[in-house]
Amino acid sequence: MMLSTFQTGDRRASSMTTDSTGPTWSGDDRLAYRLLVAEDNAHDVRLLKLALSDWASSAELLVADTFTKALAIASLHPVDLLLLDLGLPDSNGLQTLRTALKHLPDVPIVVMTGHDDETTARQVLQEGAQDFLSKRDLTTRGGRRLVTRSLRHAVERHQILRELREANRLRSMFVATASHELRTPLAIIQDYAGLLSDGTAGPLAGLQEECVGAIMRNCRRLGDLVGDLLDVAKMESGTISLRLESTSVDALLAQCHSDFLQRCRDKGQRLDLQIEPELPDIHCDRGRMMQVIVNLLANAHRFTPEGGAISLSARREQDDLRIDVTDSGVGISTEEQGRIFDAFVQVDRRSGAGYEGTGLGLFIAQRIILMHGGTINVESTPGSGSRFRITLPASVRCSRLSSLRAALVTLSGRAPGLVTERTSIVWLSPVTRGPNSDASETRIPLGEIEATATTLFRRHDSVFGSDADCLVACLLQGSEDDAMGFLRRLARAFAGRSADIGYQVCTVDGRAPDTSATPPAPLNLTPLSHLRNPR
Amino acid sequence: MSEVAASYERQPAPASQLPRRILVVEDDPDLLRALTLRLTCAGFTVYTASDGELAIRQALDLQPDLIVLDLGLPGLSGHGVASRLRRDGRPMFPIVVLSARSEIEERAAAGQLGAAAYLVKPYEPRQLLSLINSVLR
Repeated sequence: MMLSTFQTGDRRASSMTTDSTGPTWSGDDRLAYRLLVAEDNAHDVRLLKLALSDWASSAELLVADTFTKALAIASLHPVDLLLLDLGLPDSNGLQTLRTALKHLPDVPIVVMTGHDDETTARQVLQEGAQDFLSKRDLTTRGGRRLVTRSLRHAVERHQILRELREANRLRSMFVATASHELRTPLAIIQDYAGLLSDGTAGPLAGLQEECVGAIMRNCRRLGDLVGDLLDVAKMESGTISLRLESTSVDALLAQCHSDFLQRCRDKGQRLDLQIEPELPDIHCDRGRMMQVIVNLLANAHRFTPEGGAISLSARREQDDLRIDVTDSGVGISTEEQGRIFDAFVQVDRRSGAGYEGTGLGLFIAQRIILMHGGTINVESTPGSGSRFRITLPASVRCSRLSSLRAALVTLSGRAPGLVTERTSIVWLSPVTRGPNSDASETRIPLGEIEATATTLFRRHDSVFGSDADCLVACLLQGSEDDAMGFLRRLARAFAGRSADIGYQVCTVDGRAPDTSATPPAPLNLTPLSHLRNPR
Repeated sequence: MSEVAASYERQPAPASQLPRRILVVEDDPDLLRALTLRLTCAGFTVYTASDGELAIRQALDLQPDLIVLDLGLPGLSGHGVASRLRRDGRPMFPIVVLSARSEIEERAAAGQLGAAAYLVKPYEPRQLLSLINSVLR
């Protein structure tokens, strides 16, 4: 094995680290890390050494002239970065990178090739390389500076990412703990107040009844607040998941309506319910969808004066289902409409009942609707009322998800019951549509979706174990390139998992995804059948 | 327990033939007491255990008709209790799980343990009673 180690600078011995805790930077901004170079051209290696010395940096360089040697070295010594030539004697092209990524999932990789064309650069980055460099850069002083900086940033980025993941994990743990710690005492207070108010603990005199009533009311408020805060925390850490099931729109809205009817009557408000006949069922998380509608109704109730009118309606609009909550209340100014869906925004409306809400309701509502692949928006005229509109792609969503479920059953080779019991279906939609069908699309950043998926899969594994025969399905809708890149990274993150992760790619324009571009043997990542998108 | 007895007389249990012996496993003494009051007033005979080991002994000795089980017990957890109270891979008693966590995974795990129902704190007392009744029926 050819293994040459070289050092630049005279003070580097004291600043170099070789342990696995990652690179350290000495005070004068010198690099102090171990760099593995897979490169068979001695001239290029010389230029690379020059590049690193140019920058007054210090690094330990391990050089391998074949791919096999590079992998062997990396398995023996912890390295902080791999600089990979795609034209090695024993491995060529993109496959080299894929194998390297699979074997060294925790090492940032920068690719360097002789031919710098844009297509290769794009492919390489999509596969998961940190950067793409041309050997031509090594021939000029400015180019060499660029190379060094790229390597340095690759290592730094990797380190930051690792720290972020850890921070995210700690936050999720904190939220889980806080939920337990807050809910137990709350349950106790509520229970004892209940024992007082229902007379179990003896009859109450007039004023006592009022006191206990206030305790009960505020327990509920605190419970709502704890619930909302947990929802937001889960949304931000990406650990929220939906339990999708076929749901009758009719029944869902009728229940919301009857839950609210008395409250509205008490305030002299009319609450109308208008549901278009024969609406198709939607696939949604029933509890979450109800949470959204109840939140909209509660807002309408609060901000509509006595004698006003509120209506809850649903109708079909081409492929979409529209649910409107309309009120004749005080309305929202244009300026406030822009930020009403942000977290902790309490729009100041005169007739609103002070601090009753948490300021999180609409933020949560919007996130829930987005997770369902829909949109929510508001139209309002100050002084005459507001209309909140939820748009859900009704029929499309329904058929896709039932096909997915069917595919999952086939994949698991088990009874349908198993799939509902032990399968998390993760609906990840990178694209959400605007209120009109040709309006511009809102893209949820792929990074955010990936973080969500990764966290969900991790949690699933931590409960069931990575060898459990459960399936996790992830339905992607978006551009094919994005989806494939995502799947590759997902497969890498879960390499070695013995149970399946099923996935489904839907393209927005209805084309069938190019299955030949499916990542090669990402262990147990199993493709389901392609589902046609009618759009 | 005199106040409980008094209120029991005030609210006699419906004259049904349902089994009515319940073991409540909860480590928080206040919550355990509240649950005991609720269930006693609803006409159930209530046994209590404040940790997992005791819960298993009580269950085997007293053979209750149903167990209300908190998952977050110190020492032997609720999951541990449920998995020890199995015979031939099936739960020996119907179990209603009471937990502060609502995550889907927890529910699924509870389902795997063979829990008949799952309730998240803070629970609605009425909901707890109707759940228990439907499980016993």
